[in-house]
Order: sequence, then C-alpha cells, then structure tokens
Amino acid sequence: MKSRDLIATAATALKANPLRSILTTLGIVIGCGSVIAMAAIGAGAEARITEMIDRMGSNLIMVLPGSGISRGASMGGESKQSLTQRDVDGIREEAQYVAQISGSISSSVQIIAAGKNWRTRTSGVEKGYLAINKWVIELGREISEEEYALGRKVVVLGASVSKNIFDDQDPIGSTVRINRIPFTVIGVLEAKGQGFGGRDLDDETFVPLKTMRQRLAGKKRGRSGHIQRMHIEASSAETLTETEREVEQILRRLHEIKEGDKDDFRIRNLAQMVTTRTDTIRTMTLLLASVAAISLLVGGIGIMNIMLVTVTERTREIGLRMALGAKRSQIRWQFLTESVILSLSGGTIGVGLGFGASYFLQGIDFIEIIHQPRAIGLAVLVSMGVGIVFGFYPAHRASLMTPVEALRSD
Amino acid sequence: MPQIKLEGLSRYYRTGAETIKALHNISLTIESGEFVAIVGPSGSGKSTLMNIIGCMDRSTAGEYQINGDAVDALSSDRLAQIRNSTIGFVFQSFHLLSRLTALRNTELPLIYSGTPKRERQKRASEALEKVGLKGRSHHLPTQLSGGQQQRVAIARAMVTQPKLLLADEPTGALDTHTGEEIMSLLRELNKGGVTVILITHEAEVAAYARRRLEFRDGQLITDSALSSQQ
Repeated sequence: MKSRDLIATAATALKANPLRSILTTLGIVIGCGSVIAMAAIGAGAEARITEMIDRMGSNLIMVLPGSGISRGASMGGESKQSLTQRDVDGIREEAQYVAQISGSISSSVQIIAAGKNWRTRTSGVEKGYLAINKWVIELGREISEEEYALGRKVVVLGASVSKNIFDDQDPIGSTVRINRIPFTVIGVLEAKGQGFGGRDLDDETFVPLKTMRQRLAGKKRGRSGHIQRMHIEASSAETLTETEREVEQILRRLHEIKEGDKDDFRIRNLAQMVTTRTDTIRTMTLLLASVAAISLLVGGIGIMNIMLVTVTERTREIGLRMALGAKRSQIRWQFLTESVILSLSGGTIGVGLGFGASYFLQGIDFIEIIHQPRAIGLAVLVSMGVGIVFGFYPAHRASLMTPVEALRSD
Repeated sequence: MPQIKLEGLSRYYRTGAETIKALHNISLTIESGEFVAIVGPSGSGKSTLMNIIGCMDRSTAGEYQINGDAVDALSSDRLAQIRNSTIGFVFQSFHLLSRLTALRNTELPLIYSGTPKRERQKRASEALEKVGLKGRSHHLPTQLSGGQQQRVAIARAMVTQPKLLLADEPTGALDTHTGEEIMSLLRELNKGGVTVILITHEAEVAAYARRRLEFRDGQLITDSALSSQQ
C-alpha cells in the first residue's frame, strides 16, 4: 500500500466528519500557536537584552539610594536621600577599579524655544556621565570642564527634544528656556531609540550638575548636596564584581554603617537591571510554554479519544478491509495516518494563529517580537509527534481485530 | 490438486463452561471451477465454514489446504495476501463503504495489493462494466438500488481476478427478481472458470449450483450433485 493511498484514505475518512475533525485538533492548534508566540517573544526578549547591554555598556554600575523605612513600612526604592556629593568625590578619589564616576539629579522640566513648548526630563550631570552612558555627540560639542566647574547655563539636547523643538534646523547656539531660565544649546546627542517599556531614551536633556543644583533643582534639593544616583564605569567588564565590592566598602565607611547593618544604598549593574526588567517577559514566556505543554497534552488525549471512538465505530469497515486483503500493519498505518493528519493540520493552523498572535502582541509596549521561522519546524515536529504517540494505541487496537468478529459487529 | 481440501476440520467456540461445536470433523474437497451451494438452517455451521474457507478464521482441529498450502501454518500477513489475490467475497449486506463511490469501493482490494492508481482505476472500471454498472461509477452506495449495490460488491470481489468467489447469502437482502439477476451474474462468472461457493437457505437459489452440501448441527449430512440447471 502506497503512502499516497494511505493519506487519501485517511483524508476521506476525516472529511466524513468535518466538525469532529476540527474540534479534535483544537488542543493542538492552541499548543502549536503558543509555541510560535513563545519563540517570538523569547527571541525578542533576548535580543532586547543584548541590544540594551550593547547600547549602555556592559561595565556600567549604578548606585541608588536605599529604600527608606518609615514606621515599619517600606517607602519604596530611592525614597531615602542617602547619597551625597561627598560620596561621589570619595569614590572618585579612593576607588582603584573605577574608571569614571558621575552623580546626577533629574527633574521633569518645561522647555520653551522658538514658540514651541516641550515637557521633558533634565539631568544635571558631572563630567564623564555622557561617556559612561555611551551617549555620543552628533552636533556641536560636549559640556566643557569650565562649564561644569562654573555651573554655566548650557544644555545638551537628546535627539527627540531637538527634533520636537527645532525640527530640522540646527539648534546649536540657540537659546532655550528651561523652566523660564535661558540656556544655550551647545550639543545634540545621537539617537538611541527606544528603551524598555517603549520609553523614548532620546527624550532627555543634560546640563552641568552645578547648574542643576543652583537653577533647576529647587532650593532644598539644590543646596543640600544630595544626589539621586551615581553612574560608574568599571575599568573593565571582568572587574565588575571587584568594583561593586570596592564601591560598597567606601560607601559603608563614609555612611558610618556598622558591621552587620544593612546598606542604605543599592548597587546595580546593567546586567542585573536588564534581567529584572525582562522578568515580566520571562514569566510570559513561561506561561506560554505551560499553555503549550498542557494544550498539546490535552490535544493529544483528545485525538486518542476520538481515534478510539473512530476505531469502534468503524469496526465493520476494518473487518471488510481485512477481508479484502488488508494486512494488520496496513490497518495500523491507516489509523495512524489519520491521527497524524489530524494533529499536523492542527499544528499548521496553530502556526498560522501563533504568527497572528505575535503580530497582535507586537502592539503591547513591553513586548518585543522577533518572528522565529525555525519554530515552525519545531511546531510541526511536535504536532506530528503528538499524532504518532497518541494515535498509536487506537491504531494498534484496530490492527488486532480479527476479520470475522469485526465484520460481524453492528 | 483440489482447490480446497478439508480433512477432519473442526471449529469449536467456548462460551463460559460450554463448548459449542460450530463445525465438527468435516472432510471435503472442492475442485477448481465448481459451483457449490452450502445449505442448512441457521446455526448449522455454514457461515463458520465459509469464514474458514475464506481464511478469515482458523480451525480448532483438522487441516485446511488451499491450492495445496496448509492454511494453519500461514502467517496473518500471508492470509491477508490470499484473501486479497485468490478469494473474492460477496456478503448479504453488501458491505460497501458508504462514503466512497462505486469506483472507489471497487478499487479497494487493489489498494492493498499495491496496484498503481491508474491501473487500479482502469481495472475497477472494467469490473464495473462487467457487472453492468458502467454509468454508475461515480455514484455513492446510497444512490444505488440494492441490486446495484450487490453488483458493485461483486465487481469489487472480482477486481483482483480471484479463482474463488465466496458468496454469503448474496440474495438475502434482495427481492426475487433482483436476486435472480445476481445469481445469473454468479453463474456467468462460474462459466468463466471461477469457483463459486454459495451459502443460502433458499432452494431456488441453491438450484443454480451443480453441487449441494447440506449442513446440520455442525456436520455435513449430504453431499449431492445437482444434475439440472435453471
């Protein structure tokens, strides 16, 4: 018996009960769809991590204030103002593994220029900040040492800010008002694109930290000498751990934290931050994987169930085919082919739906989708495997019938 | 060498503590080209005999040879092959697959012998033509009358050009007139050299045969030659 005849025979049998066949494949459809969506989301998350690390540098370390505790209730991250300029200077002087360090304060501001109005974020930074965070000047120049030291009213614009206020005009040398204070635009940064959560990384402006304290941060915050965070570049990616330990030791000493007490600051490297942020996506991927596994299992059992029903219903047909000369193996192959066709068509529909779902998920902010054509192969193999595994027992049962008894059944 | 040779053949069934002797100690030979009617009341063992001759069931004791091959020694695959190539079956209830056209029903045995599609279709059409259903190839069984369905079944039985045709009450579900047509068709086939073994309990139907085997309670009680034919 030729495989083409097997397939034709099986297809005819399945077409006799179209609704039943479609319903039977549903589990496999969902299972394979999940495999496709899962692969696309997983690949997207991986790519995003790699890209993020490339973009921000693998030897970046951030120091954040610890979470304050007020009457036993955690106030959340950065609620404490535990970091000061003195800490930054202390690390800069003492630490051996630190290549560059910059403290920063950020604030939401209103920028007005050329009759346009834009709400964005301004960070007061120290020398080295732009380099540590892999910002590249596209137009104009960086903030000079003198401007940092004297707290000049100069600003470097992120690409989106420049685009929104100045359109395609050259903004260098223009004056913009940040919270009504005039600043001179001295540089525009190269675009970085989107960060996590679809946030526009280029919607940022940078001024000298001293200027930020004196003019923009508000009297209390500005005078106090507190900073919001430190960005540190380790001398190399290999000494990241040593750098973190060194920074921690210096800060503990400066903050006079007793041995055994907890840090009042948090040290994060980029890899950790990225991992934390991709946890949601991992959870989602895991969820899809379990949906896939459960659906495939349930779908497989569904196929087995229907195939057992089919074999029972068609006992007389089996008897007749045996009388006409079908060997046991041919009967087994016939029913196995039916279950594999069922599961394979379910798999194929599932692949289509999976791609459809991926496109749909692309609209959600924090999910990045990279379609994985290789997953098609996986889904097809898996669905075929399900058909074989769960179709074998019913097919085997059919093949064990004796022609006389099968023919005699009603 | 006789086409069919039974030697002390018995077939017992066990139901609980009881043993039913469906066939007991049957010895007979059938030569190639014979037209045999097996008659007897229901429960006399004639269907059991037919199943054994058709290689669909095995005997409990005794020996059965078909064309000199001892059937008991053969594997189930080999028996399937014999059913496919040397035996044709016709049943009382036709046993056509309802979702297949007349042509595709007729093709079935050729699928299992591995005949290529084009030749299969050619031979199936020829077989249908021989039973007078040339224009009905693409009809489904439900679109055919009882007599036409039985003709399709005969075409299917003959499509592999077997030497032996086993017909189990072939006219049982048909009216007298249609039954006569089917019997004439079987007689034609017999004249063409095919051995026909027929089960019936109707005397008129048995009269088409040239030899009559009468069974009662699992035993062969008379084996007589019939002189005349209708």
